Amino acid sequence: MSKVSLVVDGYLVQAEPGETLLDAARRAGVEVPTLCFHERTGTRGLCRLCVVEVEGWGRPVPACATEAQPNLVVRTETEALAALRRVVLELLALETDLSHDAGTQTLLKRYAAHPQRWSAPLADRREREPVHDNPFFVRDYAKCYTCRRCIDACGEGVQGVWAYGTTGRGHAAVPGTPLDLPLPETPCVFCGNCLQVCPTGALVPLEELSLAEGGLS
Amino acid sequence: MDSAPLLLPMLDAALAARGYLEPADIEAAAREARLPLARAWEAVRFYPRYRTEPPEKRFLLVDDPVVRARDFAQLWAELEDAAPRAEAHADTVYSQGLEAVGPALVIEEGARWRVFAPVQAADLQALAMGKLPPHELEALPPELARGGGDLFEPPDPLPEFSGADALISAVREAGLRGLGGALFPAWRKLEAVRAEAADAKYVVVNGDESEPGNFKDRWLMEHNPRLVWAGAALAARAVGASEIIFYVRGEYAAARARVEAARAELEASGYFEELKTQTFRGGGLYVCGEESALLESIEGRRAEPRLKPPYPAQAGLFDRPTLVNNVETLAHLAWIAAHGAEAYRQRLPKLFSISGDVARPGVYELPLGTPLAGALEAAGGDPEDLQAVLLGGAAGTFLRLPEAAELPLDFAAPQLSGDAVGPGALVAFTGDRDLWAVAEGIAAFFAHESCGKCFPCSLGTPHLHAAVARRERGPQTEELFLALEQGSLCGLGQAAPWAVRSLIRRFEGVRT
Ligand code: SF4
Ligand code: SF4
Ligand code: SF4
Ligand code: FES
Repeated sequence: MSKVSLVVDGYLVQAEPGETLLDAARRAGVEVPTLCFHERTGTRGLCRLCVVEVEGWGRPVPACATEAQPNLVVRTETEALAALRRVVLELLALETDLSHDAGTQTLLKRYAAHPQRWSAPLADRREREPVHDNPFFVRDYAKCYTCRRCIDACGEGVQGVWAYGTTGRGHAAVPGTPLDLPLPETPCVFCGNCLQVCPTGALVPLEELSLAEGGLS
Repeated sequence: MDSAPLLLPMLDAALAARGYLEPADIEAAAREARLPLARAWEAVRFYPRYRTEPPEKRFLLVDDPVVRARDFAQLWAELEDAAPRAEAHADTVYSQGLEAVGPALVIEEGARWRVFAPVQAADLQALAMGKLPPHELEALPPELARGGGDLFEPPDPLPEFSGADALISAVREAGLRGLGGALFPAWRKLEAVRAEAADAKYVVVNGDESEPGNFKDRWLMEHNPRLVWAGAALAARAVGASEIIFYVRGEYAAARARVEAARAELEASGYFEELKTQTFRGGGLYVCGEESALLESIEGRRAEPRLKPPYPAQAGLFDRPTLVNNVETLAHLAWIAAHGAEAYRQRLPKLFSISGDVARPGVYELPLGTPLAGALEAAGGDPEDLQAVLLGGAAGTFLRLPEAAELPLDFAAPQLSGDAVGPGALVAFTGDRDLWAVAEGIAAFFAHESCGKCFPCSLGTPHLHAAVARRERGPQTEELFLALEQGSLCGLGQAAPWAVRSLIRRFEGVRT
């Protein structure tokens, strides 16, 4: 199949058929900011940080979930996009403990985010207690931004185990276990896939935690 | 239908038996539906009716744009005061399609709802003494359809199928559009599904009308379901579908019972021939009306909008080509099949749900293009007395009167983002009503209904609500509007700021 030619931020790009706008942008040397996207789990389209403008289309589209098409003219950094990303990042930082999430912190700087301008947090996400229910890792959902990578990694994306699902709606949506059971009572096989894909530090191995806290107890 | 039984109806059966779900009910339903337990649990923790504890008795004040403009605060204070004395919990529930007959109260015991409307402050006080309000309402009064209309009449005789080409070209000539709000040309959807080759195709009737201000689909489901079924059957034949699923808003018990009774009658009379049909109880959330979220919920998942493409016409229910049409659209389709495109074009009927400050709130069939003032006058409203109309519903905009009086109610291009006839709600407000209170109710509604899939909406709608509650306006609020409108995955988050933004721009004369 022939390559797909399109323009990203003024550069002509030859994308492979089936590639996304995110891939195409990378070919042009442009790193579109992403939060939820993950190659291996197939997670995409949720955070909307990667939205880009396509000439002639209405709303911006998520680069991670939009296939490259011939002759598109794509812009990945405009004032409007920066403003949109800034608001999403600010609200995210306001409502979530991002202290262990270096990636998002870098983006907060890149977009000159000031979460404080939205006054106080509204959701009670930050008050969530860490779940210690297994000998291997902690689930600290005060740090979770509900990207659902862990759910995809465990469920249909990778493992096919289904130890997790999404619970709640709106800002209260968060991963949980079936019937709220402790992980050892779910089908979990402690493969560690979910830890590997978690971007926020919400899922941390116990060893790392105790090391960070100054040695084994 | 794929061979495994559907999850939600099984959960509902357990719910009806006990009033709440035990772990064993959920495990059994997951097993039967051949879903991982985590999937079934997602559904339980998503749809509000699946409680896992014995439910307490609840008094629910219906929160809609009409009551918000009037005495919501006072009624709520009365209810909060009375409920504990009747050993009940006071809460609110969003619009139940009762804008024309409210204010309304729901009394919930176990899985059972009783609706009372209209209620007054004194009725709520009397709850404390164990007295029920005087007017119980099972369904919308039939006479709420006012002034007569073609779509109010049951089909007699039932329209016959004249072949796919004939039907689709009649729909095309008639100029029929999707009347759930999207206004997409109906014939294109029919053609798209028809063109697909697949082992199974579905027609899904979207009867999830949940947008505050709208109740015309509710009326049709309660009082003319045969016409809608006829439209669905014709559409199914035209696209080559083998099964119709009629999705009725979860809270609408009478609508569901009547849709099901009409189905059973039509089936017994042989009208459906080889077509399989079923009535499905919806999830009970606004987002279920988004067509792909609706399909997810039939499949037993969280009603979260899918990323598109693919569109339902290509990969819909169980990945099969699926025609999803709104209740009113299919009623029109049946009428067109019976009377022809020419007769339809002469009438161009459209249903409007008219409520608020008009003398005769109700469902009106008016020709498309009727000026706004004409529609209000038909319902006994005096455009001179009115300051504003909420056009479309919660996902709509405020228009200012008298400036907008001559605006034709048709499908023409919008002037402000969000201006559209949409599903056809008109909520009228006289000069003494507080439009900010209405906007605040709408913002609360969106924050409550956000499904939680995408970040801009799940994070942004609570902050939008807070900003509207503080009557905030200014550049920072506008940034939030844009993040929601431009960043959200589906129409819910995109439309959340429209009403308040139109209020700021049109009534305050400032461009934020
Ligand atoms: S460790 Fe358990 S929960 Fe995490 S991916 Fe593996 S099986 Fe799933
Ligand atoms: S726990 Fe980590 S991977 Fe899972 S949703 Fe939260 S942030 Fe994403
Ligand atoms: S816009 Fe809101 S309702 Fe729609 S997908 Fe996003 S979170 Fe869900
Ligand atoms: S990275 Fe594309 S939507 Fe999250």
